Amino acid sequence: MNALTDTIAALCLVFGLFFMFVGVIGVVRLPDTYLRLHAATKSTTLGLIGLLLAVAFHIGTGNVIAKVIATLVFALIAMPIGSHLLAKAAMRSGPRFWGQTIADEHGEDRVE
Amino acid sequence: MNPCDPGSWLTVMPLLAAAESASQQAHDGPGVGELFAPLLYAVVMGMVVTGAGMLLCLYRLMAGPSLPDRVIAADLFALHVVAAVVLLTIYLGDDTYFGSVLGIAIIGFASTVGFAQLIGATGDNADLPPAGSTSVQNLGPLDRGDKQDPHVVNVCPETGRVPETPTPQDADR
Repeated sequence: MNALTDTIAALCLVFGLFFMFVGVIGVVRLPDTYLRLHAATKSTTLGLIGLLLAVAFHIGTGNVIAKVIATLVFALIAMPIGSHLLAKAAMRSGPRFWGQTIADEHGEDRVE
Repeated sequence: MNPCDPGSWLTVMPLLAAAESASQQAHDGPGVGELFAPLLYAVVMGMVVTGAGMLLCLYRLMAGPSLPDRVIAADLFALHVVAAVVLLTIYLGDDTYFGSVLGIAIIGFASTVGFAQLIGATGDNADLPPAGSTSVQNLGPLDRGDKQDPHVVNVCPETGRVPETPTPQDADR
């Protein structure tokens, strides 16, 4: 398209890639399963919004914009649900908290 | 091939070249060489960042101490595949491959939900307690009232004592 929408697309792309990379650094570096889940969900949602907006600005046809809207609605619904399910299953079964976690509102109910 | 032009680096990759020729045959829209220069630099930088992110996801997929860590890494890897398809769409200027974005997102969500059901049903005791864990609340599963194997006794690793039997309030959870 023209230079204005391509500039907006480049800015959105850099925004999205920054947050995707922040998410993956969090997944590698954070010390706990739950903290990794937090990093992988929140910042990656922002990154996906940036990337899809970049496509919508660059291509700009109705087909692509419809797919962008569908993917964004799906991602905004599915990613919190998926991470919530995974965190709940993880709390039920296996991984322990990091030693320096200061608030455990689930675990307060089960301290003997 | 001009070494100062990042767009010409990509054309040496055979997969991208094949995709380019396919999209050029399918449409005669804006070509690859006509991409706006800052957007081209952003796309090339994004391919590097996405590849590095995929490698870091694979690291966590191998090294994750428990099964939920690996599921998180696989979910994030699926989103990186989405990012790669987005970059390819912008680079080609063509929405031929863009329909797979929603499909990959749905497959990632379905696999996350399936693994969450698996983890919640079977448990995962492959992880070791972290170095700083000292509190009693880090014992055992959350719902020890109804799902605990009666042959397994939870012993606190620091004190070596066996905790008391669950109260009815615990069993209600």
